[in-house]
Amino acid sequence: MARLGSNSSEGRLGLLLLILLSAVLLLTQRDDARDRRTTPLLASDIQAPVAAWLGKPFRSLESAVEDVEDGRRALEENRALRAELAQLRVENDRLRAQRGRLQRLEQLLAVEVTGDIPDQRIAARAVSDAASPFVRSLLIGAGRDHGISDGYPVLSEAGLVGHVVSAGHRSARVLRLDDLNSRVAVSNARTGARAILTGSNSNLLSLAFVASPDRWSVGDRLLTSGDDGRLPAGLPVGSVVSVDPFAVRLDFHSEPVDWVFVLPFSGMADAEDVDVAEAPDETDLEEASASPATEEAG
Amino acid sequence: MAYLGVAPVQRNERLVPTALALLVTGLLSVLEIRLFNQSWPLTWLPFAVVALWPRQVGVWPSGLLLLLGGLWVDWTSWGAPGQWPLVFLMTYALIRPDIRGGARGLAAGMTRYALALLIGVPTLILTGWAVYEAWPDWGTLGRGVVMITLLLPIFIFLRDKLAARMSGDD
Repeated sequence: MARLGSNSSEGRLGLLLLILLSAVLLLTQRDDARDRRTTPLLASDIQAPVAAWLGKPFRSLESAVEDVEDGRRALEENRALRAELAQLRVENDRLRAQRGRLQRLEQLLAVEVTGDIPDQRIAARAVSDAASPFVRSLLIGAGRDHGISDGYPVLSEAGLVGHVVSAGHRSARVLRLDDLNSRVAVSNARTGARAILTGSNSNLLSLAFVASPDRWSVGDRLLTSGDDGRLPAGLPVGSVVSVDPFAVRLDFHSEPVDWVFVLPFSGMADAEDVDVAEAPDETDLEEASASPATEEAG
Repeated sequence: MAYLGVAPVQRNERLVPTALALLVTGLLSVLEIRLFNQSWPLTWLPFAVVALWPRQVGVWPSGLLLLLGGLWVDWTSWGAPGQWPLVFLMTYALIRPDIRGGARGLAAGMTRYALALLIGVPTLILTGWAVYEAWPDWGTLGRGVVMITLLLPIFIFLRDKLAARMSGDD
């Protein structure tokens, strides 16, 4: 029993040490964790194919439940879709007329119509669409080998999902719009008013730095404004569901994210890539002003 | 009897399956199941392994395995390194599988799991607050716990079957 007591106290001490080690690790890695810079790319590269394979039974379960629910809703949806189709036909005719008018005006004014949204898209499977209590991320099964780089916007069929923050060889981590760390410049499609869309780790996002609060109303569509230089302007983001306080529901939440499209858009250069010139000394200025004279004399 | 009633060789017999269980559940923890228009994350899957930790693995190997397993979960789930190791180790320190009784079955397993949740959930919330200065998304947290609670009877069944095959005790 003496040995039992000794082992037990050693065990307690060991556990205490390991708990302290974890706490120290957590506190020292806090800043990196907030910036989402903690996962080794190799871990993602290993995880992506294995998680895709292990997730197959879960996807089958989802499909089976979805099939049952779809069957139950089919009749009801069919009626609603017929009504919507009739309405959309009228709307389509109106838009066609407007497009012709717009093209005519663009020709008259010689407007440059090419946008900055790239035509090329890289398709990738979303391996995990994990929403943990503190992190909203997406792991996709394509990386640098497929032409994906950090900063590229990622869209689902429904709308913008986020942007790539770390690209491995065969996988990439995407920071979702609803993550705590996400900040995206957006504009109101109806009025052109600007704001910053702020992630909150929940399904309802908030708007910060709203330029003209009176130019926003419930139901307004949000697009990326491109003002942040990271994302191209015009990508669909979501809709305003409340104006006091401002709340936004994202388009991509409307359906499961299984496939995504990565746009090869690099945006502006990072601040780190810019060389900043320091103010020259007076002697440097004198030398500089003297040198052209010398060349001219030569 | 001097060594907690378990022969030293037998004590390490469960290391490999336990490590494998942590590795696989760590990989699965990034997945979620989308049912009834809601996402049901599997974030707490590795925690179920900790709650049902075998008695016959010594404290030091268990501690090291929980530290490494927790870091693995942090990496796969893109979390803050140290958060899950802290949750796992605090839970282990409270439930101390090495000194508990050897009762098996659904009721005993669920009781241990409920006890583990009492320390695991507050630890995750408080460490999350310390790192991100924000409370968690309560809906996601709740659905994650519910999901694993529903899956736990399968875990307990598998664990008991495996224990019976190996040496008749967990």
